Amino acid sequence: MPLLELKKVKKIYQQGKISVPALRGIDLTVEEGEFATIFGPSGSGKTTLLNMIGCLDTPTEGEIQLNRKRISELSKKDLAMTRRYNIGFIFQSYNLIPVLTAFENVEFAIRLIGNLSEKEIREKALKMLEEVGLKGKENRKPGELSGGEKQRVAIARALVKEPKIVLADEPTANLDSETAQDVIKNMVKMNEELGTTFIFSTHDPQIMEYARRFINLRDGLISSDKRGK
Amino acid sequence: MKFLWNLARKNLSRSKARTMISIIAVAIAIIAVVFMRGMISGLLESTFENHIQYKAGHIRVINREYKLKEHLLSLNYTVNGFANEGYESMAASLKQIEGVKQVVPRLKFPAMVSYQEKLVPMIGWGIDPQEEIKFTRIDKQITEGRMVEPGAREVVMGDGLLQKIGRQVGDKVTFLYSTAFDSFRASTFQIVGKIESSLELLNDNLFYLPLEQAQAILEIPQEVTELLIITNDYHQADLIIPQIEEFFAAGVPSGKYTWQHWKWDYDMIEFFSYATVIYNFIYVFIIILACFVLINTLIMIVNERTREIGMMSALGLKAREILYLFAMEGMIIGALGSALGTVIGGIITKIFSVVGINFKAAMEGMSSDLMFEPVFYTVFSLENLIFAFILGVLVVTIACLIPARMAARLEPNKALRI
Repeated sequence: MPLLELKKVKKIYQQGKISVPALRGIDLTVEEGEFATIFGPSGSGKTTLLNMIGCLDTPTEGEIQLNRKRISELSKKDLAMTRRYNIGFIFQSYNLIPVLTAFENVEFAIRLIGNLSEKEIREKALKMLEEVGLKGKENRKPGELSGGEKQRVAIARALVKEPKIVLADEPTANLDSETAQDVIKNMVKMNEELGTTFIFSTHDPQIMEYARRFINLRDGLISSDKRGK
Repeated sequence: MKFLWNLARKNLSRSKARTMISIIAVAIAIIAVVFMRGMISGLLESTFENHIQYKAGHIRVINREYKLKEHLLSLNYTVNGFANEGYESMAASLKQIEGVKQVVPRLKFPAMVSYQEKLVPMIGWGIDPQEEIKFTRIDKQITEGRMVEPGAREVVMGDGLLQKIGRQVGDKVTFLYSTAFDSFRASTFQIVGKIESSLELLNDNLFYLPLEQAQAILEIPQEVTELLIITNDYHQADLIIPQIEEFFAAGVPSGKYTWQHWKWDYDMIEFFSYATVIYNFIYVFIIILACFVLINTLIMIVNERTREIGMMSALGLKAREILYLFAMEGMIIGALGSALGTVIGGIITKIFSVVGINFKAAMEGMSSDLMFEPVFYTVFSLENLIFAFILGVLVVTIACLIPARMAARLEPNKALRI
């Protein structure tokens, strides 16, 4: 049974009286533990597709199943709950909470899940920050961290709740190539060690180098879907 | 929810200047509410007190006909018992009613004094000095001489009235008046005391004389124009009304007398009761005005943090939790502003409760019948402070729901795209 399944997913945005189709009928299956990249030119529908998979938006037509649950018909509240427990996000511009330290940003994601003691929350957050190479920088606020470090905090925040799937929208776009390489390696490590499924939207050839599946989007349709090494 | 509360608290440090401005806006509104409420309470308390002491008692018993002709101070409709046996037995019976602390008799009549080819009008109050002092503490307002003694041919006058007739304590004064039988008479009394009061009625218009002397010169022995019933607490005067009703219903002939509650049968007091309700709306309105600053600040915050709201939504925060987060931020500002306003407003109110506020110029020409003190003192009370604080927090929190709902309604995918 695949982790993620999209059947004939369409998304049409209404701009005044004009209908703009962003996705024209996507069929896609993603297995657990995949490290896949979605690429394509601007306006091809990459972000829209990630939003659908990430329960941030619902399709106009078609069906999406995540972890055997039909998410295309869920209420806003249930979508939020699905995001909370099953999905991790990594954004291009990190989107960390500036008034919280690195530790507190990671801790914030675990606290949402609940059910853990204060000690467990602390241990889990510190361990995850150590995993992404930020040991000793736990008490720094985002303003005191470099771009690469911020993105590593974002990775720790996405992974700390042990989601089924991590969605990353252009995660290396704001980083220099050396830092980007470092961040990608970090994600590969997490994918291998934890078995977490990663789906990227990217233009970055460095990510392509590490990806094991390449989904090419063009005009709202999958033009090619290839598997690598 | 504790972590959202902590985040809300930390978020306020993002722009300290903006947070401070919002806190100050709320604080100013609360200062205004605390002070206004203290001022209105002071004005009402002093007016009610004067109204009760010099006009209405807690419950006033008068002749039913007198009520219609009171402005003439008619002596034809007096209180002299059910069977014309005199007021004393009626006063004694009323005193027996549970909850009645005191019964104060007064005999009011118009009089004049001739001075420099002019007649100066005034009102004479025949009183039982002992009862009057016990009820109004009038002796505290005597700045020279003493209060009249029972049965003595002496008077106490206000400072303003003494000036009008060119007399001073120790002088003699001759009053012109009409008896109950409409005979025009004159009687001379010794002035034994001077009252200085900010209340125009006491200072400029009336003189006290012993009740027996007033009854004698007016030729109505054993009669008074009113009996004031005093209870332990004027706020609870209505508790004894059933007994008062029963007492007058049992009297023969029934219907000769009527009674008036201090609050009910006086237009001005009724107006004050409505005014108090209206003022409560004004307090809320003042805070709402301050809320515009806060709402504006929070809308700016929501707009600035749109991406962050999208991110939190992506992390799985429900709309209700985002609403809670922003409402908390507003509530903290509201609570801090309200606390600051309550403290400063409390200090200002306390100061004016000692030094008083002089409204003398504004009250020039107002009728002395209104019982306004030109200098009145704000009321400093814990109840006022608690009221203003809770009202502040409540109104601000409700107002904050507007921007908080804006934040909660943001679609996560659109918010992230900003």
